[in-house]
Amino acid sequence: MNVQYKKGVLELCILSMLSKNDRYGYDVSEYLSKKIDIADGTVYPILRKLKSEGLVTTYLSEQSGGPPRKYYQLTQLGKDEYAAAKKEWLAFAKTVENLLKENDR
Amino acid sequence: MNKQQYLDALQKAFKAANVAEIDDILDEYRQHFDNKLADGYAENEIAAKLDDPKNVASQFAEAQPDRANKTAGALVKFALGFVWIFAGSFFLVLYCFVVVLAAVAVAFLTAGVALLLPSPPAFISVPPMPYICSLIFGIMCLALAVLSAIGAFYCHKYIVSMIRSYNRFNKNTIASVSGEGGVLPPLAVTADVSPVFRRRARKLTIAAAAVFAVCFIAGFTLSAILAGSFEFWHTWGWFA
Repeated sequence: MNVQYKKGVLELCILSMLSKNDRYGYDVSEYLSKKIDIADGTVYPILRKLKSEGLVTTYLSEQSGGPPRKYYQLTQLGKDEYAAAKKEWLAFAKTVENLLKENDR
Repeated sequence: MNKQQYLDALQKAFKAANVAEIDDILDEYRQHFDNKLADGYAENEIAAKLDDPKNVASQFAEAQPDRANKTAGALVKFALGFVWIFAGSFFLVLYCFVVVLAAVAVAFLTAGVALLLPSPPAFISVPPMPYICSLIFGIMCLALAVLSAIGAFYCHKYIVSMIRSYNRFNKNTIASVSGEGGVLPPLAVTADVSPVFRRRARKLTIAAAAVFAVCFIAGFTLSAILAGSFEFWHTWGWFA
């Protein structure tokens, strides 16, 4: 799948996942790698960027039989950004879809 | 590549790209390998499916604020804070205009009410004139009060908008220098009122301006006729 679409959209997908539940890095990575054709680990730098922008925070959670896992959680800013980005994406996708349909005739 | 080779290559690439918090990130990749191994994949497979270490490093370098510019960020913040003394004074002076307009509105309101009352209270000295003239000039003053009030309101809105726009400019300047925080689009300076409000305000302004014009002409004419002279204020001894 074309790299250019993916970059912007992956952030949106990650924010979407985190808006539902707090998740740890590997979990997000595996889930998205299965659904979208991206290299493993594409997600990690994006998660780090979201953290440095204040859209997510992290916390450690002790695991039985393993090292503590770093969970990612949306901040209020993250929630607001997600709502705005989601709206923008859906409108954009609709516009593109309409354009394609128009030109199919 | 096996796990250790990949992680070593990653560390080397991170150092070369000046990535921050290398150990933290490597821990995350270590955990990725361990989780994948637990899921039954082989080390070579896992390394192959991961992106090339150099690409990964450049992605992490992109994703972080430029560390070297944190001091530049602090310097810019200080400078902008200093400039705010002057900008703040400017906005203050500008806002005095709003205060003046509001005061003018109150003054005209008082004058209008005083002129309309058949017997004005003792502490307000109303120029002596026939009541009909008083009535017309009273309405004229009220119209001016409305115009001043609308003026004050809009000036207030514009100045507030200017301050917001200037703040956004400040934030953007700091962000683009220090790389922290997003660079948001510049804010336009608008009155920021709803279209419905705007329409009503426009109608009100035009109505008030019309009332003022009509009352001014009518009042002046009538007063001149009743006083028997164009300078009716002399005849009636307003400035004696």
